[in-house]
Amino acid sequence: MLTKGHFLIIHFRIKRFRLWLPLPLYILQELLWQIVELTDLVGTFGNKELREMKKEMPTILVALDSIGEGGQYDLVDIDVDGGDGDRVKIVIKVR
Amino acid sequence: MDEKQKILKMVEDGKITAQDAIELLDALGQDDKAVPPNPPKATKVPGKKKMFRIRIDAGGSNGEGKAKVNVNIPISVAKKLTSLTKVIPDSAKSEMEKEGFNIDELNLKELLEAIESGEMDEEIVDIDASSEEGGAKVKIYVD
Repeated sequence: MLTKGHFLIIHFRIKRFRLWLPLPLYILQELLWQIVELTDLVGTFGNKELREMKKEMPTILVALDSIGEGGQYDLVDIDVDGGDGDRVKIVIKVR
Repeated sequence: MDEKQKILKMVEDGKITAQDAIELLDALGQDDKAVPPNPPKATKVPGKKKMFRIRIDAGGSNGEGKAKVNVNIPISVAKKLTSLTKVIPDSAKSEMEKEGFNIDELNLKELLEAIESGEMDEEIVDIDASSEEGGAKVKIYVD
């Protein structure tokens, strides 16, 4: 079911471009697993950080699983105003 | 020798009867219930999880080049992510070491547990470097 579990609601705005993306957490977890499996297939191109990231992926997935434990909250809220209408706003909410 | 052992010794020595001992033991049990051995340090609001919060407010006083960053992470999630220091690039780690800070030696999990249990002050960082030309305010705390 699409309504299963928590959602990460990503709100991105740069100048006049806006993006609003509700992403179910379990889909994000599934995507990350697919990336792990893809790196199993194609390798990590000798990149140490990528290799470490791959090793830590189960930890990230467990953390993602428990991200909804804090109830509903704003995970990230970044607002940068460079002046002259040059504004970037990124909000990631857990709902 | 604790109180219960003293009572049993008195029965053994014939100083008190078994019935007296039962009454004394019951009285001790009620006292134990009245005063818990380890009372909780702080009252915790049920259902409310502790959050690790980072607030950065930077920029000029004239409204240009302003930046606000708010990050909120449940402590339980932060504890699970402590091992991610391994993915910090070596170049960044060596830069930190030049400044006298070795992130590999830092036990983040213990630190977060200390914060969660209330052993550490809930306000971890509070820097106010703001001036008329700009500057920044950084606050890291737990609530």
